[in-house]
This record gives sequence, C-alpha cells and structure tokens, in this order.
Amino acid sequence: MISFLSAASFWWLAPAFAAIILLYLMKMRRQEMQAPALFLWPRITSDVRANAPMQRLRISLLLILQLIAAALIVLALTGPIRAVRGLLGSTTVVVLDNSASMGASDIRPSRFDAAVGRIVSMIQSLSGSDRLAVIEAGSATRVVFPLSSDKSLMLRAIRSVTRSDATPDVGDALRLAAALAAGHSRSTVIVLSDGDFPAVADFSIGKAKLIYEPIGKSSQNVAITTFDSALSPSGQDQCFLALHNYGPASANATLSLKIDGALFDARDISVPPGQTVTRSYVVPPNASTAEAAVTAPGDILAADNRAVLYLQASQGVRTLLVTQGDLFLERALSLNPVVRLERAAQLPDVERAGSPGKGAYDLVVFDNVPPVPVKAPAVWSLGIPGSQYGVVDAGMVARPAVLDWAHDDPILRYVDLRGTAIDRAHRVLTPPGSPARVLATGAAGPMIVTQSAFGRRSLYTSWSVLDSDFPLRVAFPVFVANAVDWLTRETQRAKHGEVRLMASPGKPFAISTHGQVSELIAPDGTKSMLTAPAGLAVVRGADRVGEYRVAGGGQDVRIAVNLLDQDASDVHPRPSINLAGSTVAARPGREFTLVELWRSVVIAALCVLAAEWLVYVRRS
Amino acid sequence: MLTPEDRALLARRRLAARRRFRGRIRGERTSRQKGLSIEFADFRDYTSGDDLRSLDWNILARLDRATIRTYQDEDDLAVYLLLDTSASMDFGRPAKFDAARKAAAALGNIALAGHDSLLPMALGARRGRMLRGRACAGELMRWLESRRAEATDSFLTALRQLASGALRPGMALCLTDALDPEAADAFRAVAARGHELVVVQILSQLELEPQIEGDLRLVDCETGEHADITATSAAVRLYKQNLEAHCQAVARAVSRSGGHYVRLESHAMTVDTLIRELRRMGAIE
Repeated sequence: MISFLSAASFWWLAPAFAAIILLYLMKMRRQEMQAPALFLWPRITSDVRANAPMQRLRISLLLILQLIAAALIVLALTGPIRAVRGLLGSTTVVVLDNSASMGASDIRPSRFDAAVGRIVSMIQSLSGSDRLAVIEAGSATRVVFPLSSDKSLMLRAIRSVTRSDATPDVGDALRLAAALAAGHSRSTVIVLSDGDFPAVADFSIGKAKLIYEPIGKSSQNVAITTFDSALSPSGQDQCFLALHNYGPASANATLSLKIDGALFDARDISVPPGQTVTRSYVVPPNASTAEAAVTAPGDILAADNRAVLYLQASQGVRTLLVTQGDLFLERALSLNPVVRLERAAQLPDVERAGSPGKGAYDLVVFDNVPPVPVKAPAVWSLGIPGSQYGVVDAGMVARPAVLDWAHDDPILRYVDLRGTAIDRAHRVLTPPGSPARVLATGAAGPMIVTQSAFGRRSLYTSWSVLDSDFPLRVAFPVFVANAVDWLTRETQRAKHGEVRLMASPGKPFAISTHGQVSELIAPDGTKSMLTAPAGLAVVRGADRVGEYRVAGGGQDVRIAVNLLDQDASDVHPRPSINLAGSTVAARPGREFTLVELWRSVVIAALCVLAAEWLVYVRRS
Repeated sequence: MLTPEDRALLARRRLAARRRFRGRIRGERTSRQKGLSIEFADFRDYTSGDDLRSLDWNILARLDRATIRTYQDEDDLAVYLLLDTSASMDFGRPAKFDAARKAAAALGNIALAGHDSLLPMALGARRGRMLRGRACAGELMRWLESRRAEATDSFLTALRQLASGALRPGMALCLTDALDPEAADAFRAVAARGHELVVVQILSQLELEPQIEGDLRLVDCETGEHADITATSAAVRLYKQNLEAHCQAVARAVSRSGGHYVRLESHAMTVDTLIRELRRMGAIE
C-alpha cells in the first residue's frame, strides 16, 4: 500500500493543470508576412505556442503529455512511500540458532524450518541496495553466506542448511555477526532463536541495531535427561534413567527399554510439570546395548525422546588420572571419547593391587606421581618411574633430546618427537631380560618404554608433560590417543570385537584409525569421508542424535550420540536474551521497510517530458 | 536603366517573329502582301491601272508581252510591351519589378531599333501611344521609369485586354511573374487572338527558396487575403512543388500556343542574360 509523506502537495495539481490549459486557450499571434502567391502555399497549421487570448481549447497529444508530466511531478512532490516487508536497513546480518531446541515442532514443521522460512522471505523482499548475511550458530559457527545482494546465491545457500541437535555457541555467532555489521551504516543484527542458550558474555553490538525475533510458543516436552549405567556393589550392570517434564502440565508418558534390541520393559509414567522421574533397571549379564524411548502426547521435541547406551562400552576406558594438576594431559585424555576420565591427587587405596574387590578402572595414569601397583590392567606413568613397569630410575638428566624413536610402533605412529624441548627428564634403565621395549631413546638412555605381559600393559614416559613443550606440539594429542588405544585396545576387543563410543551431538571427538581414510555413516544413512592423516580422525559432523558408524581401515566403530542435555531439552521460548549483561526483549512480528518512490516517479516524469519534446520538435 | 554596354548589346538585335503579321504602315518587315519595295517578288501580266513604272521593258521588248514586276511589300510589326505592375512584382530583393522594367527597356529598345510599332502597356495605367523608331527610345524610358508596382489588379486584366481583339495581332512581350492561378489560361487566350507570345517570367530568390519558418499569417500582396500557416519543412517543400508545377503549366501553355517562355531570377537578370535566353528560344535575332 502506498502512502504519502506530504499529501497536501496534491493541491498543486489544480494550479499546474490550470496554467497548462490556460496556455492552450490562448490564441497565437502570428507574424504577418507578405506573400506574392498565396495560392501556392499549403494550408498547414499547428498551434504549438500561444501568446494572446483566447480561443477554443483543442485537445492534442502535446496537451495530454504536458498534463501527465505535471501530474507526475506533483506526485513526486507528495513523497510517495511504500511499506515493504523484510529488512530494516541496508545491511542485515541474521544469526540463525541451529540448536537442538530449534527442532521443536510447536511451529510446524519445526522452529528451525520456520526460521529458515523467515530468512527466505527476507531474501525475497530485498531491494537493490540491501545486503544480507546469515550466520549459523550450530555445532560450529558458520557463515552460511556473507553480505550479499545476490538472491539466487542466498537462496541456494540457506536451503542447504540442515538442522542439528548440537548445543551451539551463540555468543561466538553474535560476535561474528557484530563484526560483519560493523562499518556499515544502517546495519541490523537479527537473532532468530527460541532464546534457549546461555547468557552471552563479552559481546558488543557496536552501532548496529540488535533485534531478537523469538520463534516457538510451547514448552511441552518430556525428555530423557540422564541415561547411564554402572556396576552395582554386587557387580551387576544397572541402567538408570531420568525423565523430566518441561511442560506446564502433568505428562502421561510411556517409557520403554530395550536390551540388545528386545523389549525389556515398558510402562506408563506420569511426570508432574517441572519434575524429574527416575527409573533404574538391572540388566541381564552380557547385555551390550540398552535403548530407552519415551512418548508423551503433545511432546514437541523428538531428539530427547530416545537414548542409546552401550552398557559395557558405556564404561568406556575408565581412566584415573593421578596428578597434582596437569591441564594439558587432562584435556588430551578427555578429548578421547573412549576415555571416561576421573582425576585424583592420589591413588585410592581400593585401586591398589592387593586390596579387596575389583578395580574400577581400566587405565591408571600416574602423572609425575610415584606409581604403585594397581588393579587396572593398564598403567601409564610419566616422569617418576616405577620399577614394576619395566624401568629403573637412574637419576635426572637436564635437557635431554629424543634422538631416535620407533616410527612404526603403534604408539609412535605419526608422532614426531624431533625437536621436542624437554627441560629435564628421568634417566632410566631397562633391566636386562625384562620384557620392556624401548620405543624412544635419548642421549641419556631410554625415554619411552612399554611393557606387555600377563595381560597387563604399561607405558613409561621419562619426562613430565609440564617439563617440556610437548603439549604444545601437534604430536602430543596423537601420542596420547595412541597410548590410550594401545594400552586398552586389547581390553576393548576382548569385550566386544568392535569399538563403541558415546558422544554428545555437535561435540567433535577424535578416534584412532588404522587407515588414512574412513567413512562416517550417519543415522539417516548419509555418508561422509573422514581423513586421518596422522592416524587420528576428528569427527565433527555427528550433530544429530542417533547411532553413527565409522567404517574403514580395518575397524568398525559405533558411536551413540544422545542429547541428554537438560538445558537443550528446556524448549520454552525465552521472552528475552541476555547479552553481555544487557537484556534484549523479544520483538515478535514482521518488520517493515519504508521505500521511497519519488525517484521512480521523477524518472517517469522525465520520460514523459522527453516524449513531449519529441512530439513538439517533429511538429515544428 | 540601360548602360552603354547594354545598349551596345541591343544595337544589333531584332525581334524575330515566327509569324508574319499584317502591318499598318510600311515597315521593315516583309509581309504577305505584295507591295512596293525594292525586293523583286514575281512577274504578272499587265492589267489596266497598274503602275507603268513597274512594267518590265525588257520582257516587252523581247517577248512583246506586257509584264509587270511585283515586289515584296514591307510592313511594321506591332509589338505590345506588357509590363506587370501588380503589387506582387514589388517582392524580393532586388524587386522583381526592377528586373522586369530593365527587361522591358531592353526589349522595347530592340523593337524600336527594328522600326517596329511598340505599344507599351501596363496594368491600371493609361496605355501609352504607339512608338516607332529609335527617336522614341527616350519616351519609352520615361514611360518605364514612371511605372510603379502597386496595382492591386492582377496582370490578367492587361492580358484580357490584349485578348479582347481590339488590338491587331502582333508580338506580345509579357514581363511578369505570372503568379496567378489563371495565368496559363490567360496566355492561351492571348495566343488565340493571333498574338505571338514572348513571356519572360521573373521570380525572386525569396519566392524560389523561401526562408521562413514558424507560425505565420501570409497576406496576399494584391488581394489582401490572408492565410495562417505553419512554415514547417514539409510546408515549404509543398510550396516549392506547387510553384514549379505552376511555372511548368505556364510554360506549356505559352509553348503550345507557339510562343516563347523564359524564366529568370530577378537577382540574376541582366541584359546579356535576357538576350542570350531569348536568342536561344529564337525570340530575337
């Protein structure tokens, strides 16, 4: 609909039209000229000028064109404007929330699809000078397309974005959006989200305008928030599960549990609003996989209605890190999805070899702590040596350099120790006849030693991680992964014949592979290639819940990706978002841009005047 | 009006009538009539009353037969000098009337030098008296100089007078712009009365190439009628086509009636040009 900034200017039509018509009413005063032979002159007349009163008005093409031109000029003076749905300014950056909660179906087909539809309508309403960019806040912050006015390119890009169940870093996306919008006048950042993300710190919008457009209207969701297993004191595997009702009313849910594909238990559960209901099950011995599913009427988020648990693999490689504090080693171990890491300043007595009961860990890591015999079948000691692990302490050595190492050993495959700066290390000896194997040597003797005997494996590294620059090298995480894999692989294989991991959607993790190329198969069957140039494949694309498989390189790895996130399952749309301490309230509804039309009208008037001039010249 | 050089050019020229007209007095033109002149024409038998001085005594002596010598009789040619003094002749720079007057003076002097009877005629004015011989050249010039191009009548009035039959057939020298829609008919009427036409149409450059544009009111010089026109290039083009068609019609009418037609531009009208054109047409010798 067109409106006018100065509608009163329409009154100018009357005097403009009157002046033009008056000129046409005036008679032309012709110049007199003597002619000797009047009969020879053709009687051709066309009155194009008038300068004396008065004559009858004759409608002519010139008159009509002049009236049209006058009308268009007056129309331009009225300042016509038109409201256009879509963008607010010439530069707009949209942050698209692609988290698990955006999969809620309270807005059909999903909140995410509604947000994409909103972006598509923005693209289609772009005017010539507007530019738009979209940043996806998903498993990773990604620029879907940079500032552009190419509609076809933008539509192609936005339609290629797929939903994820990850927990995004919206703050990272907002900072990127603010950087894109900076330096442009009339720029706007629009956040399309349900607001279900933590408060964002360290953020400044600059001179751009920030708008939060909420998507979603319901909070009705019953979610599996916990699904895990543990050994009972009697040594039996127990599953325990927690359901939480995020809706405003009590939910009558049906909970089912399958063990190794067979229905084990199914029951109806009433979950009060805002409450958690827990259940535990004693699973049969040798059960390997448990699958829990919950259905509730009106549930809007499907991603948290199902969870898969690898019962024995759920323990993964239960690893105990005995350390006084080593962030590098702790982080490198936790990066491995196989590792269920626990940390302790000293070894619990119950884990000491000879103490009653079974050991709770598959691997114990002594980080510069005197190692002692443990129940765990695998031990890794760094720094301080333990004689029970194949090495004998022979003092300290300063600034040792690794001179040689076994490149083809599984632990040192793709590990480059050349140039590693070590401040100090223990000088060790391997007793003759011991089954210890030296993998790396320096000028002072062995630096990395392994031992494998009687079903137990040990690894010794003669320097503490913090006494070197090794954690800063690319080889460090590779070495840690190789070490964990070698130390515990036989244990895993002995249990299952395959490697099974648990992961959260969107969180990258690394797995060791034997080949350089493997295939990642998603729950929906889509495949993508994984490259592992250093024998370590980093999986970033597991951003949907379900079971993934990594095949290739002579191994088969199954990965169960479960949401199990209380914050992600809380899908109620937030009325505001907190950005760097500032609250940005939701602004629902569409925004309109007022587009001035006077330029188009002036151009039309000029075209009509040009036509009028042409007609006049031809007649003259 | 005529320079000494012009007079020198005119001295040897004579009007060349295609036809023989019956004259009133003895002139220098041979006529069909046999009369007393020195040019032998034929023999015939003597009849009573013949002049004995015409008797051929040699034939009588030898053949004993009375035979009379007959001689070509020489009559004068009536030359009517019609000068267009209508208002339209005062158009152009130089005015067409000046060129016409000069041409009239040239042709009149030729006629007088040839001992033709010259009758100057102009619109609206009293007809001059018949002039004859070089001695009347001054009177002719005075008559011409006293004429003005201001008559409101059309030149056709003078032509109709000539066509009325009151004057004996002769040579009609018309010096005019012939810008009348009935000019061709008038010339045909004059020729039908036995006159031999010599029409010198004089037009100004302004008439041939009008440099006008815009919205104008054209006023006829003679009738005072007016017409509003817009002088576009198309209108000028049409005018020129009409002018050429009109002049061609006049030329055809004069030529088909046995006359001579010459068109001259007023700014290029000289005695030399006039004589050359008329000689080419055969109107003078």
